[in-house]
Amino acid sequence: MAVETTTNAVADREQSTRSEMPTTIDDLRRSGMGDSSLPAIDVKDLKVYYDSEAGVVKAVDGVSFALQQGERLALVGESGCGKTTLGMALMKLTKAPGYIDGGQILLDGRDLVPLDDEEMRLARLAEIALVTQSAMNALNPVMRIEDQIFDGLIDHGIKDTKENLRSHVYDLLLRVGLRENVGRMFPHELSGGMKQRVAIATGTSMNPKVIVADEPTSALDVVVQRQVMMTLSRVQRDTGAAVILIGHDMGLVAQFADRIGVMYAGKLVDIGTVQQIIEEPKHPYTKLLINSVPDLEEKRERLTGIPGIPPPLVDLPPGCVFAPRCPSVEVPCNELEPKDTDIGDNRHVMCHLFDPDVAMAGSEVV
Amino acid sequence: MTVDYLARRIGMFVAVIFVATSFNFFLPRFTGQDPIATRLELLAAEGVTTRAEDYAALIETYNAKFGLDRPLVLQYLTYLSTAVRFDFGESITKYPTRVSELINQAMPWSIGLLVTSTLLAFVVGTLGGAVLAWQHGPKAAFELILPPFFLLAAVPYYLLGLILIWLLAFQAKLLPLGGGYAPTTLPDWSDFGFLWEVFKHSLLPALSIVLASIGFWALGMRSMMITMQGEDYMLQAEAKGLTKARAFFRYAVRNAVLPQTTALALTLPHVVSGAILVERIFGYPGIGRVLYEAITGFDYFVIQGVVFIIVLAIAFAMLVIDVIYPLLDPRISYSSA
Repeated sequence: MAVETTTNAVADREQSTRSEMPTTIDDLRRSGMGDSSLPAIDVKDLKVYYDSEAGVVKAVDGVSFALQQGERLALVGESGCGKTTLGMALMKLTKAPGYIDGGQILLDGRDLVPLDDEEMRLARLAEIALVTQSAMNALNPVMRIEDQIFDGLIDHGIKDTKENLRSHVYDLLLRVGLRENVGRMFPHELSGGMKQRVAIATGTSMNPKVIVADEPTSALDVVVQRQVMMTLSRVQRDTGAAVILIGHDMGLVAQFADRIGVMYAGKLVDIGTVQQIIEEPKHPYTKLLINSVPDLEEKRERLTGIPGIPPPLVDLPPGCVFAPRCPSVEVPCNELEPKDTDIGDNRHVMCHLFDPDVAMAGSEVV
Repeated sequence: MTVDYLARRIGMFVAVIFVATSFNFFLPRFTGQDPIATRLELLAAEGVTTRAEDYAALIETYNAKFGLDRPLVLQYLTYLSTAVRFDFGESITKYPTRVSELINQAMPWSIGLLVTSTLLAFVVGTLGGAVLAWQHGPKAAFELILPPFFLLAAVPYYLLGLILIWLLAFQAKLLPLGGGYAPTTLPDWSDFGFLWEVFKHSLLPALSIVLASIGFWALGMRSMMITMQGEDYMLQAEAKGLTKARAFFRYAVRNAVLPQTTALALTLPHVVSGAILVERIFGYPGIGRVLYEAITGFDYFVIQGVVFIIVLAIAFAMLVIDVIYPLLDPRISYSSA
């Protein structure tokens, strides 16, 4: 009944490309995944900068990627490479002195970047949801779990009976492998793994098109890590949401994702399927990263690390950001900034070695 | 177990009152001051003179009258058995007025003034401090309004009271200098004119308490709110797309107010002691003034009565806080010690 009468302020804000906002739990359950011809999320040349006394810190500098519905992308990279900054920017949760300097975040065709605060608030949870790094503390200690999930629903215009809301929350809890009575519990009564499951249940409570999962297992022990990843995986299949998983554990990430994006110094330097990245890494940084992952079958004396440290993101030198640590560095690397090069099979690499327009001795352009 | 918890708290409540009232019985008696002699000195000062040979007999009569000639232990037992019935005997300095009558007259004045002004300062200060720390709120206005209160928080409120009297009552003549109501009016609580009179007289003392304590509450709340905003659940509240009002009240303020509540409970004793000074300065007919006059006259029975009531009030407030705290913060359970 409420679908026909969504001429309220909430619906007016919605652009014509959007379906009506759900106002009851039934609407929510019926809400589909939208236009399947468009990517679920299409990020174009996104830039997130921080103003600091030393200058402008380019934490995320011209990142582009697209995810189809139900696709799972893992973003990996060293600490400080900008993966969390990117995740926050996708939610438009970048805090001052940070700001989005340019680019587009097309969510099912709609650009999030120009949205005002209220429009973005309504998009959060309903269309793009965050499962945070430290779900351990992501719950309000003085509220029952179900109330915390209700809050998100109510503030997105869901007006339904307490029983319907509660039954929805119970379904969500069951889906993440928790018992119904967890809804009536307080956060301090739950274990770390349970809290993380609650975070996943909360994130999927409105069937978002995209879930940003920022290191959802970093605070858990390895056994629970695996269980939580399997839960996330199952929920993702159920809802058909696209997932951006941010992590640095290559092994964990490879099991979960369809594609891997490798970030370095604010740039997405290599992106391809899990198989492509692991079996035939292209970018020299990806190669070194894969080499530094321990292999269960192969016996090695010592793991190779990557010499050097990532550069400070203020006043980056001209040329390639990885050049100072790159084993394949050549003259153009220190002068010319590498471009995002499509090398086929939807595989993108940001390195002169794969750019047909740049002459490199070790060029791998065929 | 809730019953267990309550039983323990109530046991504590009774123990605190017992210990405090016992101290209150013995302390004035160990000072060596004789209340009867003090009373006669006061009478002498008023021109009532006694012949020297009658003096000893008079003291003896008085002592017998008030039971002060009996052994201390017996006096103590009588005191305990009568105090539980709120019977504190008769005042020495204001004989034959009963102590309970003095308290009954003064109590409404103090409760009306102190509870109102303390709660007002708590609510205004806490909310002001919360908004001051909230990045999304009408911060600028509060940044102008609140800092002077931080300054006033450093000024003791009896001193502030004197300044206010000088400025508003003596110089500007806007408000009465002191007292609970004008001496020319007859107390009649059904008369609107009298109520207005009472309100005008309570403004200055209330103002001195409120002005001096808003800053205290605002500072405490502000720093708690800043801590809260760094919490992951605040980020999560934003990521959940909550309205700012909900994130503010249900997530930030709800958590930040917990230490404030504890502070309120701990402040209550200071409210009482502070009241003595404020009521003295403003000549306010409250319990603080009764206590002050009793102490200067070494009126054992009034001291015992007033302090007993104060101890009871504070212990009861603590009991209430103890009982409601687990409701405010589910992490504190009734079962833990």
